Amino acid sequence: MIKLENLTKVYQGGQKEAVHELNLEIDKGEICVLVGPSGCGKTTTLKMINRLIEPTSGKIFIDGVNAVQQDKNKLRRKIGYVIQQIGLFPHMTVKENIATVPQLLNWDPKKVDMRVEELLNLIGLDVSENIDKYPHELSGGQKQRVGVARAMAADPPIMLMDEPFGAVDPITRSDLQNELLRLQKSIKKTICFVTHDIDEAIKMGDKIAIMYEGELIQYDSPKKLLFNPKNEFVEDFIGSDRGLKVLNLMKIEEIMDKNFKSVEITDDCDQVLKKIEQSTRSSILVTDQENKLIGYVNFKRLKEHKKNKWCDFIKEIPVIEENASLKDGLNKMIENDIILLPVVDRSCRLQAIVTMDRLKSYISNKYIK
Amino acid sequence: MLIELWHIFIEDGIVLIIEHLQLVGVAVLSAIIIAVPLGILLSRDFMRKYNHKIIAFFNIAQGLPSLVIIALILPLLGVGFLPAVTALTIYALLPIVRNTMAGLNGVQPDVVEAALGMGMTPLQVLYKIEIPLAFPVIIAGIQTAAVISVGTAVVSNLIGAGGLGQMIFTGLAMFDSSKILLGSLLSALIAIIIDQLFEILKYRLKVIQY
Ligand SMILES: Nc1ncnc2c1ncn2[C@@H]1O[C@H](COP(=O)(O)OP(=O)(O)OP(=O)(O)O)[C@@H](O)[C@H]1O
Ligand SMILES: [Mg+2]
Repeated sequence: MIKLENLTKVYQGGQKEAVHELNLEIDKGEICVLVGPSGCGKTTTLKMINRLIEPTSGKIFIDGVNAVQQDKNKLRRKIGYVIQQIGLFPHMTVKENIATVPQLLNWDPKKVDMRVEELLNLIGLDVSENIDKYPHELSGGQKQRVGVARAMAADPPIMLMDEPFGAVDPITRSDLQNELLRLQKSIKKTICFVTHDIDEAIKMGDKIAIMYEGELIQYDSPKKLLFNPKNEFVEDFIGSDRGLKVLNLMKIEEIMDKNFKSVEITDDCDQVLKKIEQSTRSSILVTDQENKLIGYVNFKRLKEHKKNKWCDFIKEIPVIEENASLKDGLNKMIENDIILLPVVDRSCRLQAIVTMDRLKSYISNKYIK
Repeated sequence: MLIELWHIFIEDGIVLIIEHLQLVGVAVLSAIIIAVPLGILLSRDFMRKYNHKIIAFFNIAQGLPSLVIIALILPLLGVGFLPAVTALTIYALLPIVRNTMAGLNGVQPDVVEAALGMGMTPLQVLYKIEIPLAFPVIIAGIQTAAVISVGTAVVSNLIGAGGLGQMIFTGLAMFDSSKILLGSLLSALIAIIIDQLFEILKYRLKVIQY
């Protein structure tokens, strides 16, 4: 979708190359995050893609077509652009700001109105309350949302986002990140996302390009980056808490175990005991007839008080969903002092289990190497 | 005294006020027509390097007494309404060009970059973004030009412009203090009124914009 070939930029009067021989390929529908310390050439790279900056040498292909051969303005109208400083037009309302590109493309005014409202809903801003506000009447987070909406207005297949969530507090930032990820699931844009925050990069990126002093150091999926940092710089840049970041990145579904035993509430006590004996564990999960999780029973207690109403011994147990992160899982285990978590689906049906042992060995196998 | 002033006002005053306003109006309008495009041109990228020097030049030129420009016009264009308007126009150009440039330079670069990045042509950026944002500053320049012109117009009677200058200079020649007084008061009043009208306009703009 986007392909950069030996892209180099030397600014007028600058001795060093701001970007040096950069080769990068961004696949359709993926988020590629450019990350690196301040001044490493992220913004320069981004601006070369929409030709706000002309490369000194090298080529840019968009959908296989050389960007230099296209009309600058037409090219830019197909590429959503969120600039580092937000850059909303102070003399235009939220609506006029968002409508900029559709109006440049001569959309029918009714269609523009509809699109603006749709986008405001999409980014979670109340339409009637915000549509006629001027940028100075918005909070920092709202401004950034409007900046993103403005870039998406004409539904461009490509989006360039330069630290789009840079100027907000960590909580709003995390909200905005989640919203973008949720949106991306349905809109499937090809996004080039710039940040200098490695955590944001790991969270947002399908692929991460780590840059340093104008050079591309490593271009890999977040997992590969965490498990196989190419050199010391990458290792340092990721930080000393790599193990914890891995936990954040991986989903429960990657380590859950579907081979496990459970009992149904309609089973009688003997059946339950037998099943527990067959398993290697000291307790067993209990479901109802529709496989919905009820809780667990402990083998020892059941044996001591053997009686027909074994159901009285069922205890509640915290659960987790398969798309939660390992960090959430670990946290739940530690908080509740347990070493096993049942994995359930949305309607609480038991799917699998995760155990502390499995979690530990998975991380250490993958990571310690 | 008051009755005497009133008589002069009825006899000459009204006509001279209208003449005065014509002088100022024509001069300021022509100044706007020349100065705004000139200011825009001088603030474009290719001139940006010289921007500070150009603005400095206009500041110095502004400091010259209006009499100098009027004196320079006389041998070139002679006397009458047209030479006077020309002198006034030249003098009124200065604050408008200066403020147009300053206003355009004051537009946040990131706003311009965002506009370009979304695919506006440089011309669209100019009339959709830069000029609207610089507008209050440009208006302030026109305000300065208009207020100064009221005073300069008095002096330009030296080359036969007419207007309230005529009343004052006649008064001076005839030692008629009533005429001097009335002419001065009226031109001061016009200056104040014009100034206040612009203040209202600027306030309106501010309410609409930010
Ligand atoms: N217009 C310019 N003229 C000259 N040098 C520039 C210009 N813009 C950027 N540079 C230089 O190019 C290098 C890369 O800048 P760039 O803006 O791409 O960095 P960045 O990675 O986006 O940094 P940040 O995280 O601070 O935004 C820097 O050393 C910077 O000083
Ligand atoms: Mg940058």
